[in-house]
Amino acid sequence: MGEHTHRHSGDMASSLCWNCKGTLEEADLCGTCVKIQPFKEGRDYFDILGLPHRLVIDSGILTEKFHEKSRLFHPDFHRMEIHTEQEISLTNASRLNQAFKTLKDPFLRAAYYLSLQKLGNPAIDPKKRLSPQDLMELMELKEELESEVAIGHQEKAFARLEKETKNLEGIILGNMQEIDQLESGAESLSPDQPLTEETLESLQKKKVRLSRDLEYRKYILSIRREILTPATVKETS
Amino acid sequence: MTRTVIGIDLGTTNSLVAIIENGKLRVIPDTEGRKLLPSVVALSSSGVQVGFSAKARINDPETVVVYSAKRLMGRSFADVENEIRQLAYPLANIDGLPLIPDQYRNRHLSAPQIGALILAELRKRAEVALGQTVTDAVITVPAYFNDAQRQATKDAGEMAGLNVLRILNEPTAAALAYGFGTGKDGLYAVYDLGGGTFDFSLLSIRRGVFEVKSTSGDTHLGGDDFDQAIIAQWLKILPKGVDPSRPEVRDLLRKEAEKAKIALSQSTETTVSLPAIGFETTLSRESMNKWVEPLVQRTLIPVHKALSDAGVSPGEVDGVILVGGATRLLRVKEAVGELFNRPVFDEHDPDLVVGEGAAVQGDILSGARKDMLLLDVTPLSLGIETMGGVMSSLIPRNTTIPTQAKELFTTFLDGQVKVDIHVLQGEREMAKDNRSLARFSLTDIAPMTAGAARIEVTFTIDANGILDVRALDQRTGHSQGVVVHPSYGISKDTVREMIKESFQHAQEDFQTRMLIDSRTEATTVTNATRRALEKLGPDILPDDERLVINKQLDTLEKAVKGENAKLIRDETSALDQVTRPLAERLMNTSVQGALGGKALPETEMEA
Ligand SMILES: Nc1ncnc2c1ncn2[C@@H]1O[C@H](COP(=O)(O)OP(=O)(O)OP(=O)(O)O)[C@@H](O)[C@H]1O
Ligand SMILES: [Mg+2]
Repeated sequence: MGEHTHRHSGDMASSLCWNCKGTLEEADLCGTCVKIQPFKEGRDYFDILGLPHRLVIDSGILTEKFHEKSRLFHPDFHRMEIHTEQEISLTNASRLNQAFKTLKDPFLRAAYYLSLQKLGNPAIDPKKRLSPQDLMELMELKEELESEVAIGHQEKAFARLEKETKNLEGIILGNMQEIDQLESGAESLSPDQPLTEETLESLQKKKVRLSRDLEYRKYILSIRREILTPATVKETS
Repeated sequence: MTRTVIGIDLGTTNSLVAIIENGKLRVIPDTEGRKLLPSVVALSSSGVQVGFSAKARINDPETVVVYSAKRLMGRSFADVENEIRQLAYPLANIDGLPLIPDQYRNRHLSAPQIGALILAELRKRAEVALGQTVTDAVITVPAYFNDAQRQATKDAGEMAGLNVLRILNEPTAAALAYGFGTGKDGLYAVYDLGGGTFDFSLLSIRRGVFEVKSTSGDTHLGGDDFDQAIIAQWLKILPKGVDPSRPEVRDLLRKEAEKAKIALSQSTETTVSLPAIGFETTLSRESMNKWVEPLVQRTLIPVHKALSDAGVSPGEVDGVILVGGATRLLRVKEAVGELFNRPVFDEHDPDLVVGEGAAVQGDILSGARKDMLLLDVTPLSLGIETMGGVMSSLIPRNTTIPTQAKELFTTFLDGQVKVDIHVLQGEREMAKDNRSLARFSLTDIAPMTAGAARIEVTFTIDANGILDVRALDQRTGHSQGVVVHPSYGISKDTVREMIKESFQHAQEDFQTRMLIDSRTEATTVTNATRRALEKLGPDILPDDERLVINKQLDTLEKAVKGENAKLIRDETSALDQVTRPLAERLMNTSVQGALGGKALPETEMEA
């Protein structure tokens, strides 16, 4: 199966409404009895928010979608309904909140995006370990920073850490854009037209890099948490 | 038709009840026009008093006057031990809970029971004003209240016979009141310094959706602490021979300190005079500001935490909403103004705005409006204790609620039939440093080899910020028994006991409500009958019959003025009896009239 077919997850082929048993035209709401519908197993966060599977998402649009769906599912609007509907509302609203939280943060979003594709593509699993070389690099960074702090140069250590983080995040964000471009280029082709070997390879490389960078960033953040003693928190906030 | 849902601000020092009426916010005053109700309960041989009359007895040696009970909500005796010396009433440690002895009735009262008395009083207020019974309510709590404190507040509502539709965060409520009707879209900060608690929240308002970004606070910081800071200085200059540990002296000083503090919002200097203990001094705004400065600075710690959690800098905030009586302190306004350098909104009365917001949320929950929606967050991280006493976080703080987290549990021993889960709330790494919420036992697990059981536990934090735990045996698909042992506060059984205990009270309430209901009904019927009589000529209503009806109307009206619900009901049925022949005739003439094309006042008799 071509990788890019994954994102046309028309996940509601001929489902029935839990309430009136009518055929559902759309996934969230029954057109006949106007009852909200439980999310299907396979619906991922992009589907839930009604957004295309993209790494770059406009935060304004994301918020708008989130609010729109919240108005549909939030328990406040289903308080008077029967128990089943209240349960659906609670579960859907919870998942919706989770979806928004994940997609709002570009780094969480990227990790989530990759995790959706990791089956059949373990090289991009964001949970996989960093290479020994990366780990070594991080250890060195940590030691250097710690010795800066030990001689009272918190400010300097923090500035360096800031710079490292910003740098890495810039690279990640750029990479996310590039992957989107390649993917959307691929999507404009007809589904039965295979991607060129070259495009596929380049995509895969970028995703592997993305997955490594995301993991690397996590380490940097945890170093940052460790370095930031309560005293420095006060100074910098 | 939608039922009115009342909004209640259950404050440390003052409480109030508000509603939305014909689309307008209204704080319901008592019969004397007072909007606030002191959160004070007096226990004496002559009975239990609530509010102003209770507050008036504060120096009566024969009366136990309970105030600031909110500080005890959902907390253990150990939690509040340090504060007890600030309270002038006794607390007993019973099963680890701080209870208030009521020697006159041979019982102990918990904080939720005190809260229930206050809530019942507010409920009565609303019922009298609305002329109908009220059960549905939204009650506010400090945003930084943990699960136990929220649950305790909800229990208090239930003990007062209320159906608590929502436990609402106070700063969020304030924002709702500000956004109600006029709300300008943007990012707002709510700085809420009340009598006993401090809350800070950041939220965005966008087309009727109020989305809380982050919240933080200190459940032990408020105007009361400012009073204590002033007292601490005065203790140094108290005349010799005055024993400051005596409760009466403490009370005098506390009142005088608050008075001086409030006076200094207007003037730059005030005189302090307590002839009873021979204490006389002056206090300048400058010295007071100096004394309270550490407290003002303490409020800024949660402010920075919330800003950093939301990834927002002070400059991005469009406006700051000031809530709570203690924000009237000029130094507080100044400090907040300096930090944000943004317009400060204080045009809503800071004493009322929280209750008003509760009424707005009540209106939303009553189904009356769909244009506003509130998305709030949980203030504290929720987790479970894992190996080595470490807390493993399941739901991080500032997660939008409702929210769910699932976790898979299994057995460690062959044939194990029970698994214990220790649920915690807090931000510290070690379980023991966080607040223990409850221990949940998964019971009746089918015995099998270690590690074979697959029990999926769902932790739900609902829109009230209250935890619910459910378990599912993945192998059978059946729900798995969960037994809850709350660590603090009161177990469900005790709550049920207390509800039963307050049944006596509820009976009294019931009488009042019966009375209100029967009055309402009687008034409606009399009005409708009188209107009908005016329009009917002697052709339909002979004079002797009119006389009988009029007499019964007078009798009923007299009964309505009295207190006897049964009498009112009886007289209402009597009126029904004497007007029945007329009603029947009207029905017929209305048919004839309809045939003859004559307009008739038949609708007037409908009621
Ligand atoms: N003019 C004023 N200047 C300074 N402080 C004031 C002024 N007026 C009232 N206060 C203080 O405000 C506090 C009470 O505030 P408020 O009524 O908002 O609290 P509350 O709602 O009862 O408490 P909480 O919200 O913490 O549960 C008291 O400490 C009181 O002394
Ligand atoms: Mg308050």
